Amino acid sequence: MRPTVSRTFTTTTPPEAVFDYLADFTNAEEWDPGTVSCERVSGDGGVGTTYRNVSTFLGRESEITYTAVELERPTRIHLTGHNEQFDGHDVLGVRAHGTGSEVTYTAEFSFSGTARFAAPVVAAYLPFLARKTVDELKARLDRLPA
Amino acid sequence: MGAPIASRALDTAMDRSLVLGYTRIGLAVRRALPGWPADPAPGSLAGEHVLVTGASSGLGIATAEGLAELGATVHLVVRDEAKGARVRDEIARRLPAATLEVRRCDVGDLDDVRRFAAAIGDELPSIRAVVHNAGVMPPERTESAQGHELSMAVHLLGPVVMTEALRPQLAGARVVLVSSGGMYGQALRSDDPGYLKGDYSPTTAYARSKRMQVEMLPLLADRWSLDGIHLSAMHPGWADTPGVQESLPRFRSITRPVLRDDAEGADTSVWLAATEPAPADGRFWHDRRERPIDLLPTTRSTQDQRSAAWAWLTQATGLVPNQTKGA
Repeated sequence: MRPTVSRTFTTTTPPEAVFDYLADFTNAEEWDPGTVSCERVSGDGGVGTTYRNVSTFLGRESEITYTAVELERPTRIHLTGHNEQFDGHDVLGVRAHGTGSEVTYTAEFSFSGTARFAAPVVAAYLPFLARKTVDELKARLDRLPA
Repeated sequence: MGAPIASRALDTAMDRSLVLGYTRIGLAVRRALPGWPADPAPGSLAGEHVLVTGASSGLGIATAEGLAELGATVHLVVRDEAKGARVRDEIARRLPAATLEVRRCDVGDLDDVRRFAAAIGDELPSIRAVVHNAGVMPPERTESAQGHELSMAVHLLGPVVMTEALRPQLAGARVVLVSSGGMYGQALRSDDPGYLKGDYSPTTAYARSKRMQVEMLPLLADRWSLDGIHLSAMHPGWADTPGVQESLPRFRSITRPVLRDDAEGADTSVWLAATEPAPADGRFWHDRRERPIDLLPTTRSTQDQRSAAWAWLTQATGLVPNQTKGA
């Protein structure tokens, strides 16, 4: 089982500014309600850059190493997240929409070891999590300087 | 979209039953339901240039005719110019005021697509719409001039190369990929875009290439949105086209009484090219309404598969990444 959630929303901020904000994954501290801390471990912000992300999920804290695997300014951001029990993808598609942008955020998760029993719980919780994340993300993006 | 809930529910129920939705019954019912999106305004394409590939048969003729009826100068982009000229004359008999041009291009040959795009791009400063309608279903596995599996080349690689080469001329334009409901039965095969593994089946090759189109649709729409290009994909339902007549005779013999005619199959392409305001970008349409790209959980692609497919597509078409950070 590979729980996936995808949400599309619009923001008044143009694609380049959206991309620059989201491609720096340390900003997840602001826009991702689950992220407690996110720091850059290696790299210059481009493809191959790694981040240490600490997040809480259903009351449990976990540390995940994220790697930027695709960055096509300003349209595509793809990070993979990994720890012993978890593999995930965060993908953001950014599209020009009037003078702002339409953003599609997709998160895909897979679990190994005992964590795989959590997959159905995660799947059930995802719509709620997605709404909270997208609300925060949109609010942050709308306030960015163009 | 402002359709009443009951008519939307009926529309969706027909869509998921396939047989009701994809036949002419589905279109007839939908047209009668409240909330059916309005036709493009008469004359809405007057003075505009539009391109229709595969315009010498089936849905292509009907698409060209539908666009000409709205006032567009229609460029019939065909492999066989003599056949194209016959179609031009046939449409002109029905629409004496239409302006129709025959253009030669083999959409499956990327060198020829680049030649064609350069020539027409020199001639026309602005193109209002492209309907990528050309389709093939080779009975045996066939390779294009560049060594790509032919249905993939004609349905995806050629359209991508043509659109990319015409980005300046297409600013603000509509671009429509004609897909197929057959793609619902196939998963994304990013591991084998050339159909090199397993036994070749014409219908599977066709449906796989149509699946690849809709999987790559959002990424291509993102890319071309930067030029104000509005990219959509659609499926025509089950239409009685030469492709169906030659390649699926048994399917045709059973379903013929309810198969759509060409104009019914082309309806959504014409609507997407001309309706105002532009429908939302990067969506998959059938009968003037957005549709899901998966009906079965088993066809849902993973992010790794999409990334692999995108890497393959950019390589095969020579798309230069927008701007890769740090690669």
